[in-house]
Amino acid sequence: MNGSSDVLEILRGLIWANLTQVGLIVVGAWLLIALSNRFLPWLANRISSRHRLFLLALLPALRLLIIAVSFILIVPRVIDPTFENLVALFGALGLAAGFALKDYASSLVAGIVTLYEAPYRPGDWIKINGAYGEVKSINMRSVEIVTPDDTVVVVPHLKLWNQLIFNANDGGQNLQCVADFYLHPRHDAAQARHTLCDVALTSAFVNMEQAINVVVQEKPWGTHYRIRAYPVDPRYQFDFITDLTVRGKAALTRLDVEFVAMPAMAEMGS
Amino acid sequence: MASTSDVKKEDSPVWQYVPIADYRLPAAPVIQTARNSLSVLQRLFKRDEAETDTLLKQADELRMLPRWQLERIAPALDWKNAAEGLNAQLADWLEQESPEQSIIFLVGPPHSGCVEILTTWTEQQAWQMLKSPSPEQVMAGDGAWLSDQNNQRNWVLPGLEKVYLRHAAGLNLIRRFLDRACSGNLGRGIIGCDSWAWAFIRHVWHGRQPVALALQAFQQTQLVEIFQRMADSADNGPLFFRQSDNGRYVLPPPETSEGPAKMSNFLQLLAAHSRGNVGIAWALWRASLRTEPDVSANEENGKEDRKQLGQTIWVAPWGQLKFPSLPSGSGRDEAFVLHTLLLHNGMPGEFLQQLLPLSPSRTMEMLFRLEGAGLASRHYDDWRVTPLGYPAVRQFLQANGYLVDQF
Repeated sequence: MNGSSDVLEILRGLIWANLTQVGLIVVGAWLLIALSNRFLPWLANRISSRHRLFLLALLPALRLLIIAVSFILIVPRVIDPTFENLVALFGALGLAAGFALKDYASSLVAGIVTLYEAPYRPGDWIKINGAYGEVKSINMRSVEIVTPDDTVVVVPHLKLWNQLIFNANDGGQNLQCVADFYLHPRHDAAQARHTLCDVALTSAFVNMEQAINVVVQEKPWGTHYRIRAYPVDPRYQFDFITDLTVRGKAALTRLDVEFVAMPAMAEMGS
Repeated sequence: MASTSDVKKEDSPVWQYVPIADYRLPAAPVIQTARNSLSVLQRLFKRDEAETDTLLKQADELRMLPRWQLERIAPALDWKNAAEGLNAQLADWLEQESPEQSIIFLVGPPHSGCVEILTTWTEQQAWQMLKSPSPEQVMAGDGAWLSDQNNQRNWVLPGLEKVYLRHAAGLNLIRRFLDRACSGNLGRGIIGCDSWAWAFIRHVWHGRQPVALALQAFQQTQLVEIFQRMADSADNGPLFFRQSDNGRYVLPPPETSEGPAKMSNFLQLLAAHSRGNVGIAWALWRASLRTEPDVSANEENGKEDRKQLGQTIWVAPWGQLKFPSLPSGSGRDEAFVLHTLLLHNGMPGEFLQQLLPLSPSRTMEMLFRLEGAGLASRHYDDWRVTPLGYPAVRQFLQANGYLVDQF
């Protein structure tokens, strides 16, 4: 007997009553998932930002739990769950998935791996294949991120196997932001650095419990300053960088420091 | 439930000053802590309610105390005793010819009377009161203000929070001032500082660690004493402070032959909610006092009767008191405004606009919104966080990761 006829034989015992139960379980699971998809993010946005990420991270785990429980409930209603039957069924399904849906199956497995390895969680700011954004949802097959331009990017989990994944806050509230300044080399670097440090210290966005640092590098075209600091909430990162840049430029202008124009071109030429 | 003897058991001074590290917050009863957690959950699911929904249940039977009665029963805090307590704490330091630490800091949370205590103490001791620089001088890093302080001998600066602005150009003056003061170049001085400003300044100034004192948190026993003194101070006749739902005494009644009276834990809750801040506790106390309508209506007629027979002042049960809370959907902009107000212990709207990354109109919109919610109010030119709203504001800012004080 070949694999497909085995499966047909196993499924032959299905009766309408069981199919109805299976249908109800599937609908129930779908409802629960849909409810959790709506309710948990809604709740997460109403509680303090400190607990928001934790609540969002529960979402994929909860979804997997619902699916696993549904599966356990469905299997005995579809087949007689003996060892031989299960081996035959999963063997046939595995074969079909292996050939026809290789990438899909790989993404599903990677999706399960993401739950315990947690390379990204809802609320994290990640960069995969050049796409940077906030993780909005982790589905069974893919992760959805929203870029700062409000574009949704769907990335299959299988990228996990062979791509670099950059996670800026890794499940926490601390996301380092960098604001760049390019100055003409003739100036008092200590004073400029001190001023930029004060710019960060006095930002309304800054998380003062985290380190603030100003890195200075001399380049062929001038001096490159980088303020490294953390906002109180990762979602404020672009406003924070804007605030640092605007106030940093104003503070440096008060020092009569000259800015360098087009350092990238100068760098290319050097 | 505590009895009268339990409430009087502890005997510690009312105005006690301690190093900041020894500051101890009053503990809340466990049941109240659980209720607070539950109320946080409830707030998640409820929309903003109309004002009429927040009225007390006994509104038809009891009413708020009229102003004249409040001024007699819970008048403004008298800071003289606090200043005397400070003097006792500083006695050794004052006696020394050339103390090792020429500067002492007095740090206190908003509304805790830090400025008032130092002002009173300065008048009592005839020390020199330093005038804070104007915001324009702070922004300009005005050396003239600093030079004016050179010839002082014994001086007090009651509000260090007015010597800086959270602006890239607003930190130079305070750094130079603290460097000079803490190195002994300005003679002997006492500097008062708001606790939020203190938390911020510790990140922007890294000089020699000064001696910093704080008024110890007010526990239930200290609140009993201070509120009892207030009630006894005027010619009120015997007053009985009883909780309106169960009749238990909030302040110990005069001794009777019936044995110890059953006491309410209202003041323990009050101490915990106000985090031991006497100014906040006083404001909450005034907001909780109730009277029966006919008593307050006949102010003059009933005065003689009350003096002889005594009057019952009803205290609203803790669970029925409604304090200002953050409007539903409050977020970043509200936090910015409130945080900046606290870091400077209040400031004029026009300077707030310069410090925040919000448009001027948005800043004013936030201020009016917070004023409507009872969280901010205007005091002369300055906008400030209200005493009744302060606990909610502190909790909100802390939950959202902003720098908070340690009190």
